[in-house]
Amino acid sequence: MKRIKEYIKRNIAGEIVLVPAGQTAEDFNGMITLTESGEFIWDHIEEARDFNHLVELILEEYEVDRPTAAQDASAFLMQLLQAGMVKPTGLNW
Amino acid sequence: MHFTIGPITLSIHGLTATEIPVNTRKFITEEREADIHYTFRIVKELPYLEEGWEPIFERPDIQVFRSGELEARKLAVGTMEAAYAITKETNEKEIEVYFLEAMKQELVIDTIFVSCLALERHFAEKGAHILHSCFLHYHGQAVLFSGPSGIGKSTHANLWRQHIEDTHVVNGDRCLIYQNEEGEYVASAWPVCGSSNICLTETYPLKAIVFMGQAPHNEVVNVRPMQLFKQLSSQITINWWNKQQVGHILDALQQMLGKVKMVNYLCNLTPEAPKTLYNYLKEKQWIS
Repeated sequence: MKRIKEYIKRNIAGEIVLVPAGQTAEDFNGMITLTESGEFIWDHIEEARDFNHLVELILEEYEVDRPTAAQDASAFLMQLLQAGMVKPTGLNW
Repeated sequence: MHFTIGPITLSIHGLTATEIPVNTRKFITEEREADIHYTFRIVKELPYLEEGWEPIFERPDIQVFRSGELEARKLAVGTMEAAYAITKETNEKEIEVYFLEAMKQELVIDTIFVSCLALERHFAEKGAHILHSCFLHYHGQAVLFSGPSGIGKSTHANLWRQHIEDTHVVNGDRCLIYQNEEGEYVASAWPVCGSSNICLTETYPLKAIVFMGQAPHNEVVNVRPMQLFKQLSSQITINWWNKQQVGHILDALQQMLGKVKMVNYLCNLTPEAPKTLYNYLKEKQWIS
């Protein structure tokens, strides 16, 4: 997965927001608030080789079971894809 | 001609005072060293930009180009076929403005003229930001009512004028916010004022920004800093295409959030509406 680069991340009193900038701002003039795990996924999505690797990274960071991590990651990933904030780099990822 | 708007002095060549909007004329000052120099050229046809200007952003009313750190803009009314000006930075302090002769009489319209100056870009670099708000003076202090168009900012300000002593509207639509030499946030005059037509050149210490909402009752609502940050940044004029500047502005707004009092206020149109908010601001000692 590749992040669409034109987002700026800020921490506002402990909450994380992604702000669109650049040409992105014209298509989508809104801000996205991230949960802690959402921020982790956003930060590591390019580093992950595939979905399973992303889940592994989450499991290394958080004390959750695999099905929960996979479910959270998949739900958040769908949101990112639907909002056009990430794009696949291959057939399965 | 020289103009001083908040912390910045502009010099404008190529136009006479009668060719610019009445509201901008209020900011004319004596000759002094200017931060930015504009040269207006009235032309029969808008020139093409030379090679090297790369398009970076486009909307029906504006195209933005960049060459290194410099910016050029093509400005239009609604569609690029109705373009009226090209602005081009020749260095960081000097800007050429090519304005279409056929549109020259429109130069006296606040928004048309001010759009040619790309002020928000230059003000942001000085830490000054334009907030979409009704700028109310109360007893030597500024209270700003902000929020989307049609939410009732001006209506609420009028209720203050009617029911709270020593109040008047300084600008019905826009306000410049910056930190003065003492580091204190101030609200200052801006040469565009929307349909309110109230555009006074006054500056006051900024005491509160109130984000307005409509409701059958009157209620001050305390929200999380994140919501205030979103509300603030949605009502500040930001050149979203300039990613580097956006980053700096977000930092500045975050700092403002920590220092300027902000609150949400849901209200109706009764005389109680300004009084409830007034009592809250007094009780909290945000205004004195």
